[in-house]
Amino acid sequence: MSHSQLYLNLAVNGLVEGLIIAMAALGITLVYAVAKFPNAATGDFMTFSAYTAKGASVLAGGSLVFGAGVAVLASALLAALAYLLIFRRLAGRKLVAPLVVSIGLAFLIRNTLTFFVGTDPTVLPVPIVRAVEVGGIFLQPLDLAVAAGAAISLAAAFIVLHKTPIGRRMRAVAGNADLARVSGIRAGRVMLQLWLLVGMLAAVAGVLLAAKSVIEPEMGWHLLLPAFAAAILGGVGSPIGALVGGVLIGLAQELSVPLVGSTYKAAVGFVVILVVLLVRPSGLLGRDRSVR
Amino acid sequence: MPFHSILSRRRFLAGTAAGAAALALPAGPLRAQAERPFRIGALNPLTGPGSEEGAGMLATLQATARLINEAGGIDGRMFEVISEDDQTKPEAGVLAAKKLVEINKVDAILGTWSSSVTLAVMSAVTQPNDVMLFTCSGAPEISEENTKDLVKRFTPTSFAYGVAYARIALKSGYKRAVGMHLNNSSGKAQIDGFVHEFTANGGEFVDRIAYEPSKPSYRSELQTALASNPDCLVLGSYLADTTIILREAFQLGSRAGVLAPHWALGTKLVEAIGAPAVEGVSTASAVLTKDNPSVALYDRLYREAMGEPGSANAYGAMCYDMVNVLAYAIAAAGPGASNADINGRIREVANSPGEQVFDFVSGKDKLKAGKVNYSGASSLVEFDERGDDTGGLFSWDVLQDGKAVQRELITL
Amino acid sequence: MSSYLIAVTTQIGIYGLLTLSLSLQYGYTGLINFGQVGFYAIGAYAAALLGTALGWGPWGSLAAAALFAAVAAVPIGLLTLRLREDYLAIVTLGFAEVVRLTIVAEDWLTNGTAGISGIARPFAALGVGIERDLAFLALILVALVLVAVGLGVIVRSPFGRIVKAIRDDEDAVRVLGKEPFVPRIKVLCLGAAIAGFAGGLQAQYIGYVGPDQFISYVTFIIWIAMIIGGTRSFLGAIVGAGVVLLFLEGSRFLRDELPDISETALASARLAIVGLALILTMLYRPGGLVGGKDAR
Repeated sequence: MSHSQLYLNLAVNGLVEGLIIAMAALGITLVYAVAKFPNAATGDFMTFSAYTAKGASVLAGGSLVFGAGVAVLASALLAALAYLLIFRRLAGRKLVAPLVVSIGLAFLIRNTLTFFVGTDPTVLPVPIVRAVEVGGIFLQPLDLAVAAGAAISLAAAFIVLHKTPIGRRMRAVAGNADLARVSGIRAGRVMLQLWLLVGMLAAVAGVLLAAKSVIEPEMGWHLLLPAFAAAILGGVGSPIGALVGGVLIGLAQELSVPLVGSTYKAAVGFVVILVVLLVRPSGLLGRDRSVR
Repeated sequence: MPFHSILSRRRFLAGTAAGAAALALPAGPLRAQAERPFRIGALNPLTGPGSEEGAGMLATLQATARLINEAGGIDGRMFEVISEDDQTKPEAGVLAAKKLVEINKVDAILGTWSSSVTLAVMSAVTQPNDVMLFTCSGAPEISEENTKDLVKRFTPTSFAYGVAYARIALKSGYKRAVGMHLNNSSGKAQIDGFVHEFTANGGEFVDRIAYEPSKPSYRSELQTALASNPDCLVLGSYLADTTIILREAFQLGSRAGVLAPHWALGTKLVEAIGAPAVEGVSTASAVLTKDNPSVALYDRLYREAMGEPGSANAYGAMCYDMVNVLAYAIAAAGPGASNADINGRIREVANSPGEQVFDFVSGKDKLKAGKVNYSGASSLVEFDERGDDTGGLFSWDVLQDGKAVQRELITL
Repeated sequence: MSSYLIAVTTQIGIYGLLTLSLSLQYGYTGLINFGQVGFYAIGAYAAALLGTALGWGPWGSLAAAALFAAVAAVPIGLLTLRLREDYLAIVTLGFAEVVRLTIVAEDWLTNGTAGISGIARPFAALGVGIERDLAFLALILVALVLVAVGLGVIVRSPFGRIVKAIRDDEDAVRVLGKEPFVPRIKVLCLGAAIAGFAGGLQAQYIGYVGPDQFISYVTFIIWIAMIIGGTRSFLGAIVGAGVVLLFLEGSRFLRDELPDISETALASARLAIVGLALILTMLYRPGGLVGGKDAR
C-alpha cells in the first residue's frame, strides 16, 4: 500500500468512525439544546440498545432487523422513562443537577445490564464479508450501513426539528423556555417527545456500533468524550453541526495514528474541545454564544 | 454466542457451597490427623477486564482443591479455598489481599491475573507478610521485584512467548514482520521478545504499533501496520481486541501470516468471527501434547465446572497446576512444615529431573519413592531462579477449521 | 483482623482528602471539576518518581506531590476557568483522560503500563509490621483533620467570602469590582494540591502506581461521595467518602448471605446502587446526608 493510499484508507476509517460519533453527538446536541444539559447517559443508552438488539435477534433466530427494531423501541421507552421519572423532576434546578444525575443514570443502566447478562464481550449476528477494494481503498458493506444509518438519523432529526410542529415547539423551548411556556407550549409534552427521539437515535447508533465492533458494557461510555467534542465543535444545538463535528473528529483521530500513535489518538477529542472553546466557542455552526 | 447470566453462575457456585462444606471439614477417617487446613486465598479477576477468565480460574482452583480433598487431602491435611475478587484493579486487589491475609489467614494467594494487580499485591501484601503468591501475569517486572522468591509465575513470560513466535515465523519462512500489541507490559514484552529473536536471525522487523484497549475498531492501526507490506503480522493481544483485529484483517483481505497468543484464540474467538477468519493463524502454547494426562484431567474438571472445554481458558489450566504443585510441595515438606519450608520445596517437585508426574491424586505415592517432576496442563512447569516458568519448550499450533492442530515442538 | 480495618480506614482517609478537595472546588466555589483524578495522578507519579528514581525521602516526595499538582493546575485554570460551567466539566474530564494517556505513552518517564514499584513509605524505622500501618493511618487522619479545619478557616475568611459570592452570583461580584478569575485559579490550585497530596499518600501506601489506577471512575466516586455526604460541608465530604467506601468495600461480606449471586452480579449491583443513590440524593435530598433538603 502506498503512503497516499494509506492516508486515504485512514480517511475512510475516520469517516466511518466519525459517523458513529456523529450519531451519538446528535443525541447529545439535541438534549443540550432543548433540555440544557450535557447528557452523560447517552453512551449507555447506546450500550443498552446494543444488548437489546443482541437479545432480541437471538430470540428471533438470528434476525438482525428484528433485533434492531426492538432496540429502537426499547431505547425510546428507556429514554422516556428517564425523563418522566427523573429529569422532569429536575426542572428548574441548576445545570449540575441533571448533569450529575445523568452520570448516576449511566452507572445505573450499565450495571443493571451487567447484573443480568455479565460482562463478557459478544457480537451481533452479522455475516463477515470481505471488503471491496477500489484502487487500493477498502470499503466494507458495513461502512455503507453506517453511512446510511447516519444519514437517516440526521434526516430524521432535521425533518422533525424543522418540518414538524413538534420540532418547532422543541426549537422554541430551546431558544427561550419561558417565552415558549407563555406562548402556550406545554414543556412536558415537548420534552417527552424529545427524549423519545433521542432514545431512538441512540439505538441506531448503538446497533451500528455493535455491528461494526464488539458488544461490551462500556462501549457507549467510551464514545462519550469524542461525542461531546463533536457536539461542541459543530455547535451545540445544530444537528448538521453534530454530523460535521463527528466526521471531523473521526478524521482527526484516525489520520493522527501514524503521526502520534494510537495512544494519543484519544487525546484528539480533548484538544479539539479546548481549541474550539478558546477560539470559537459557538462551534462551527452553532448559535450559542453564552460560553463565558 | 451465549449470554452469561447470574443463573449460569449457579452451577459452579452450588458446587462452591457444597464444596466449601467439604473443604472446611476433613472427610472420613483421616479426621483424626487434624492438621489445620492449608488455606488458599483465591484472588482472581471476577469483575473488570479480566472477568471473562476470572470465573473459570476460581472454579478451577475450587474444583482441583476439592478433588484432592476428596481423595484424602495431603496426608490428611485439607485445602480450604477462600475467594475474593480483585476487580482487575490494583487498589481493590490490595484490599482484597489484605482481607485474605489478615482475616482469613491464608497461607498462599493463587491466581492473580492482571500484572498491575500482581505488582501491587506483591508490594503491599505478600512481600511484607511473607505469603506465597502464584500468578498468571506476564509482565517482566514481576520477576525483577520477586526479591524474596515468594512469587511463582505459572506461565512463561511474555518475552519468552515472543521468542517462540519468532522461531515459528522463521520456520515458516517469513522475512518481513510487523507487530501490533495491546498497550500494556505483557503485550509489549511479547513483541520485544519477537523482535529480539527475529532480527537476530536475519528477519526484518518493519514496524510496531501499540494500541489502546476497548476501542471499537483497530482498522487504522491494522492498515498502518500492513502498509509496509509485511508477510507476517504478530499480535500481542487479548480476546476482545484479537476478535476485532482478525475480523478486520480478514475483511481487508490481508495475506500476511498471523501469529497470535493462544489465550486469545480459544473457542470464543472462533464462534465470534468464524473459522475462515482464523484459518492458518499460528500460535505458541506451552502445553506440549494435547493428550497429556494433566490436560485431560483439567479439561474434565473445567467442563464440569463451567460447561466449556478446558482449552477455552488458558488461565484455568495454570490454576489447575498451581493447586497440584502446592499439594506436592506440602507433601514433600512433610507434616508440621512451615510455609517457608513448603515454599522451598516448590522447585523440587516441579522441576526436572525426576519421575514425571501429573495430578496429585494419582502421583502422590511416587513422591514417597523418590524425586518427582510435575508436568502440568498449562506447561511443563519448570521454575528458574527468578520464579518464572522457563517455558523452554513450546508447541507450535496452527488453527485449521477452527481447531488448533499441533505442527511442531519448538525448543527455546 | 485489625490490619484489614486499618487498610480500609486508610483508603477512607485518602478518599476523604480527595472529596474535601472537590468540596472546596465545587461546594464552595462552584467549579464543576470532573478531572480531579488527573491531579491525583500527577501527585501520585511525582511522589513515585522522586521516591524511586531520584531517591527522595517520603516526606519530601509528599510535599512535592502537592506542589506538582498545584503547579499543573495553573495552565489548566488559565485555559478553562473562564468557560461556562458545563464546558468546564467536559474539558476537565478530557484533561484527566489526557493525563492518563500521557502516563501510558511516555514510558521513558513513567514506565508506562508496567507502573512504578517499590515506592517507600514514611516511618521506615518501624519495620514492616502493624505499627507502621498504624503510623501511616495516623498520618492520614491528622492530614484529613488539618485539611478540613484549614479549609474551614479559609472559607470563613474574606477570601472565602469572595469565593462563595462568585459561586452564587458572578456578575454581582464583578459589579463590585472584583474579578472572579484569580480567586478561582487559587481555589483550583489549592484543591489540586490536596488531591496531589492524596495521590502521593496512595502511591506510598500501596508501594506501586500504574495508569489503570487513575481512571475517570475515581472522579465519579468522589463526586458521588461529595453529593451523598453534602456538598456544602467539609464534614459532609468526609462522611460521604466513608459511606461510599464502606458500602463498596463492605458489600463483599454480603456474599456469605447471598451465595447464589455471582461475583459479577454482586459488583454490578454495588455500582448500580451507587448510581441509584446518586440519582435519589439529587432528587430528594440535594443537601446530602449532612446538608438535608438544602438544594444545591
